[in-house]
Amino acid sequence: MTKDYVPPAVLQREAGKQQMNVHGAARELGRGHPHRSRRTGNRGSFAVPGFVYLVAFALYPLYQLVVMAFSDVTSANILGKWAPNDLGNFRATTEDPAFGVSVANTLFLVASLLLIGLVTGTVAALAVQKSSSMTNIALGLMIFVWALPPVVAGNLWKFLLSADGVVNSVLISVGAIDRPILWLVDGRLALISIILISGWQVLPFATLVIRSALMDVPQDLLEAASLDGAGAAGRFRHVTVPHLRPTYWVLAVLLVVNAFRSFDLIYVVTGGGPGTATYTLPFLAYRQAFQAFQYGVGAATSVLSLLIVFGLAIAYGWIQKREAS
Amino acid sequence: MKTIARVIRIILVLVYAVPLFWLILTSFKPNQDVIANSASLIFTPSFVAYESAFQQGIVGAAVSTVVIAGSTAVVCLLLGLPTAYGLAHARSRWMLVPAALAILIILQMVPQTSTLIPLYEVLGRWGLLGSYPGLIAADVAMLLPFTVILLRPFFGGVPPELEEAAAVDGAGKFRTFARIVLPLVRNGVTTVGTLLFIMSSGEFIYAVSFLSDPQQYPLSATVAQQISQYGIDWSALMAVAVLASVPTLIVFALGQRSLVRGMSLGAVK
Repeated sequence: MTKDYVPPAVLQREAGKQQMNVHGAARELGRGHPHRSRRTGNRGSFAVPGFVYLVAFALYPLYQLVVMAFSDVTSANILGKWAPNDLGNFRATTEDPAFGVSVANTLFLVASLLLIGLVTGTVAALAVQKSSSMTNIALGLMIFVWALPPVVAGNLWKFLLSADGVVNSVLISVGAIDRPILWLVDGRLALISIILISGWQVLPFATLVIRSALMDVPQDLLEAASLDGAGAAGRFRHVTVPHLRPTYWVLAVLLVVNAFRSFDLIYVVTGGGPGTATYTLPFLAYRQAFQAFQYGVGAATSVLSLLIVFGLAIAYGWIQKREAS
Repeated sequence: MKTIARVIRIILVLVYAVPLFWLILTSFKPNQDVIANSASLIFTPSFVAYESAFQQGIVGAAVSTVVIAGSTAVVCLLLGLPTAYGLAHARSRWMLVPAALAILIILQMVPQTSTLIPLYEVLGRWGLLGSYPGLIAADVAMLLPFTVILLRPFFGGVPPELEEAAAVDGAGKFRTFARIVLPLVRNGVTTVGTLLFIMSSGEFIYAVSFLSDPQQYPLSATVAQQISQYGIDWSALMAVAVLASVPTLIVFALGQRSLVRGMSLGAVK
């Protein structure tokens, strides 16, 4: 009954399966739609619309970014024709004194946020491991802050850290300092302030991820270790940390990717200043494109920062592979 | 150890509660009092900052946020659910699946400014600059990889027998997906939908770059734009910031549990 439209190869393949009768019945019922029933189990075509969208609005723009990086594009001709200019844009951006500062700041920011996320996140996660009323208050507040729009968090800290802001007023009134600390105006402090604000918003995420991994550490292993005479520190080092390792790797990648997004905070809190003290590569690219209207140069800077991100991604894949073997 | 843990818990509560306390406090404080002493706790509360925020059309900005973030979340789910299902249930020997996943992960890692520059040009060529559809299209492109990566494991948990049974009953691919599979992953839909709404309502860089008229700005973009307008009017700025947090507060109140689940899934923000 079914043979009249099902090719033998498909029948043979189906014959090896346990639910042969189910497939047979399905074929029988779906007689009017042979293609549909034959493909039960392969739904790859469902992914097509999503990927068509991504090709149009994500991959094609990235291709345009690369073309732009090798072309002469300014606000005058962005919607017109682009003349190729080889490596001119890359030369222009790397010769910009802000470029070196931006690279150094980006690396410092990424490394600091990685450290804050992993170390402070572990400390916080251990402290809120057991459920209690104080734990619930702390977690609730932290999740709320994590969910706050970055512009709100940025402007709040801009107010708190301003020269006559709350932080300075409190420090002066308790006699810790006698003149205001210029958190956001001092060239050396501004980047550190940005890192602390960014850390304030990212710590909840790191804490929750590490906390949920801590919940999965087998209790009997911890008990066995303490019977063997291991102290709290020993148990943590030899039992907990090895269990957390895979989580740490995933979290590290997410923290690095997230650190590149600190762009919003820099935009709101310091605007890159004072001078170029809080420039990062994404911020420099934004400035070149949307303030100097040198789209080609901004595209070149973006391509360079993409290379750093992908380099880190490949390094991560390589480490994971080595860990697994 | 227990004492240390308790001290750390108290520090965490203070570090997160005190700044929020000052955010709300300052929004009710007359600006001359803020300038005189930003830390003072005694003052006559005033609603001036809120009144001026409402006069300047904060309600319109809130409506824009709901329209933009709501549409972004809905479109992301409409495109992301079938895509995640397709990737979870494609034949494993289909080599395109690992390649598709790699593309999603790479797109997820791209910094927003790298897409901002070419999207400005691409949307301009396609006549989508200065309008909500253009902005929503850009937000969807940014959040779709994230949506698919997060939703795919939910579909992996759907037992194949159920789909086969549906096929036996004569349901086609699309009916099976809509009637059998989707109801089984509604937890995932709530969690990811909540995260999408929060992330797209916090987005402001696309908004200030792609919308030409500040009247169209959503809340986040309005707050970002306040800097130039109110160099020192801190109470006005804090009032707008408080109002811009209201959508977050509502989502937080409704969906804290699904937020926690989303964060534990390894959600990226």
